[in-house]
Amino acid sequence: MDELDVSLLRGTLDLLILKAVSWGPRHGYAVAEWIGEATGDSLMIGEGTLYPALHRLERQGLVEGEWGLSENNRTAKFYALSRTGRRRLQEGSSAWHRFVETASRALRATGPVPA
Amino acid sequence: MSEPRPPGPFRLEVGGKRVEREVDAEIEFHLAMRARKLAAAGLDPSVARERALELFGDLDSVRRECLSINHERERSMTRRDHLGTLRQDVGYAFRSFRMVDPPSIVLAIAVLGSAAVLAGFLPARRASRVPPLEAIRAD
Repeated sequence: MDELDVSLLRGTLDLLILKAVSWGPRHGYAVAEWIGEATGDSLMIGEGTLYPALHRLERQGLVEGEWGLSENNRTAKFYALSRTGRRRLQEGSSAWHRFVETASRALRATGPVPA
Repeated sequence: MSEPRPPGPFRLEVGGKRVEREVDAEIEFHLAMRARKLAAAGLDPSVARERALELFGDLDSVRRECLSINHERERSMTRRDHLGTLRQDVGYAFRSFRMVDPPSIVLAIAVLGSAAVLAGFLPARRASRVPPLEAIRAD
């Protein structure tokens, strides 16, 4: 995977994580499950890559981690979307849509002169 | 990876060890959940664990990356604590300064300031009155 793919993917993964916790606190495994289901398993390179991303988001204050009990009574770290995280998710989603639209319009260009 | 223990009650533990335990516990939880799901889908438990590790990817590099992110976070939190203390101290000094009435402050500055100026100026003036040659000879 080259550099462009990686940076694109990282930004996208961050947004998907924020989306995954937007309905309430979830632990990392549940985030992985949600992203897997929502994308048809086509985006995750390795489930492990989720964790550095989660911790980075936590450091930026976009999610807040807290230890709690999982549905099967094990200790797990739950991540909740913070207020700044919610704002970032909204801004990030619309920026992402704009970006994708612009880029795909440009990539569909059929001639050297913009239509 | 050692057997993860619930990190909750260890909040007062020294930073580095706690971070390590938490990261390990978090990864272990993920692997256990994934293996359980695979086993429920019919995979042999030992194979399920292997498969969960495979799906996880490069465990060592993930672990290392998580640790470095958290250590950095811990450090910046300590820094912020220090900054907070400094701000409190300055605030305290400022408030106690304001409790003294302004004329006393002005008087104190004036007295101390002129004492400092005189202590420098007077001896210097006397010294400058001594002819240089005489000063050298007296040495």
